[in-house]
Parts: sequence; structure tokens; C-alpha cells
Amino acid sequence: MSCRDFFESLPTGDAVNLRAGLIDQSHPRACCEVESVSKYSPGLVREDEYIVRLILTPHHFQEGKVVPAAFSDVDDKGLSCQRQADLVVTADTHAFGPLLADAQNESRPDGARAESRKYVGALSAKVADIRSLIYENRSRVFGIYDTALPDNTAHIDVFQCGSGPAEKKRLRKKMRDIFFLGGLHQVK
Amino acid sequence: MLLEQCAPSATDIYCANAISNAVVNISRGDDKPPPSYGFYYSKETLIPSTWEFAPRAELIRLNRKLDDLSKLPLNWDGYGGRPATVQSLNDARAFIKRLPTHSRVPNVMLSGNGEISLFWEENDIYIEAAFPGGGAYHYFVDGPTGGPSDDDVQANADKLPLPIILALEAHFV
Repeated sequence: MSCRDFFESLPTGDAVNLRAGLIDQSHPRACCEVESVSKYSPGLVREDEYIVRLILTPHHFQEGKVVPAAFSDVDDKGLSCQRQADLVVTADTHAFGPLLADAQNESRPDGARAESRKYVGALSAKVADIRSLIYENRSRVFGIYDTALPDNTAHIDVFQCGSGPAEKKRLRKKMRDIFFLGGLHQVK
Repeated sequence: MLLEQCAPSATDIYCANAISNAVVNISRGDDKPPPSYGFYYSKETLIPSTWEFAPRAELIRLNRKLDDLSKLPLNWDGYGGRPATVQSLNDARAFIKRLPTHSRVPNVMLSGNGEISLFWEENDIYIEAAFPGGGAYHYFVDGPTGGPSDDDVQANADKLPLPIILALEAHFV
């Protein structure tokens, strides 16, 4: 099965949390990065591109800093991000923020107690910097795939490769640090 | 703010000050100096006096936040997010009870899968303990040259792992 067929077969809905494990099991060490996994993609995610992660309040943004839990999706459903040619977050990418917040607020159950989510800005990191992270055994930590969507061709996903839980968390924190180097990009 | 305006378990800074002042007044009497340490009842809450109150208030705030995270609705993040699981909360609370009394109170964060993590972060020192549930937790200490970690610590162990204690003593007191 090709990587594209495999990614198209990944579960959605309630089983979406199984994605990272299935990828690591069938295509370990981010080996599908060399193949385009979406028919909507403009091309493979290159080393010189930038990943942008949109940040929403309240739980992922504390005291002016993004917490590593904001990246916890890498270990199950996949960390949804946008791709860009440059470090500076573009107006087009920012435009996804409020839309994402609205969609998430609307999709929650009626009468939900949780505080509404709001878009606070975006973090960006160079693809090569994230891909260069490695575990102690020298194996790859994160795979970055061109999971473009019909209405969002710049969409990409980051998945974490397998290791012990503490080591995974340590590398996730390192990824947060890389993202945070450029600061939080806010709408001007 | 008057003490009477504060809820019994109020922890905002104005109530904390009001309660703290009341405690000092109770302890002082007319002309006696305050004791170095003591417990006094204030309304329904047993609170420690003077300088002990600030970390105590932080602890109350942390426990309240843990409660809030457990009451989040399913799909709280619009992407299938789960509230903090009961087992994760229990293990995190067992960990908190074993913290050195003079160490700083940790921050808390919630993963989309309902896992609670406690963490301390300042400058380039970071400690995180994560509680997936099931009576065990994992942790790591991170600094400029890395740091120790453990994938499987029993939540009901008598003491916290020594590397956590040492890192807290060195950086978060």
C-alpha cells in the first residue's frame, strides 16, 4: 500500500486518536515523508519551509507562554499545522485562527462549561529544525506530512514517532522551545 | 476587602490578604507578638498563619484548577478533547501531597487525551511529571545538558523520585 493510500485509510471520528500509533507501526521513522500523502497537496514538505501552529486560549496559553500540552496531538490524532514559505506568519494563515476558534466553539456540546476558545496568535518553526530532533538512540522524533485538505491545501500534520513516554515528553517540550524561539506572532 | 465578603475557600489576592490579616490579628491579641507558626480557624477553613498562607493559597488554586479540568465537557477543544480522567487526577493529587512543603507549587496542563501534567519552568530549567492514569506516572527533568527521567514511577510510592526532589530544591523553592 502506498503512503497516500495508507494515510487516506487512517481512522477519523472516535478512532482518530489511533493515527499516530498506526503510522508508527506501519511506516516507522517518518518514512512516508518522501511521498506526498494527499492528492490536494502542492508537494512534499521541504526542509526550508516553515510550520505554523495556531494557538488558542484558554488551556494552551498560560502566563504569556505556550505550554507543551499544546503539542500533545502529535502523539495521537496528529498536530494540525499550516505550511508557509517564510517565518513571518502571513495574514492568510492568521485568518484561519478565528475560523478555527469559532469552529471549535460551535462543535462543543450545548451548554458546555468550558471557557470559549479564542485565537491568540501563531508560532512558527523551520521544518528542518523540527526534523533534526532525534531521540537518544539517534532515531527520528517527528514526521511532517503534507496532509492537504480540499479547502486548505497548506494543511500539514506532525506525528511523533515511538519511544518511551518520558523521552517523548522531553522532545515535545524541545519542539515547543523551537516553536517559541521566534515568539508568538500576533495579528497586527 | 472585608473578611465577611470572602467565600470560606476564597483564594483571590484580596480575600487572601483579608484572611491573612484576620489571622494575624487573632494571633496577636492586644500586645503579644505573633507565634512563629500556628493554625487558626477562619470561618470554615483551617488555614496556616502568616508567611505560610501564600503557598497554601497557591495549592488551593492548583486543586481548584484540577477540579475544573475534570469538569470540562467532552470535546472541550473542538477536536475530541477529553476532560482530565479520574485516575489521572488521583495520581496527580497523590504526587502533590508528597511535594516538599517549601517547594514552589507546580503549574498544570491538560493534554487532549485527558492526561494531567504538572510542571515547573524557569529560565532553562524544566521539570514535568505526567499522569496518564493507571497508578503510575513518568517524569523528566530538562536543563541545558539534559537531565534524568523515568518512564514508570508508582503513584502511591512513599516518596517522590530523588531527581525531582533535588531539582526542586535547587531551582524551585
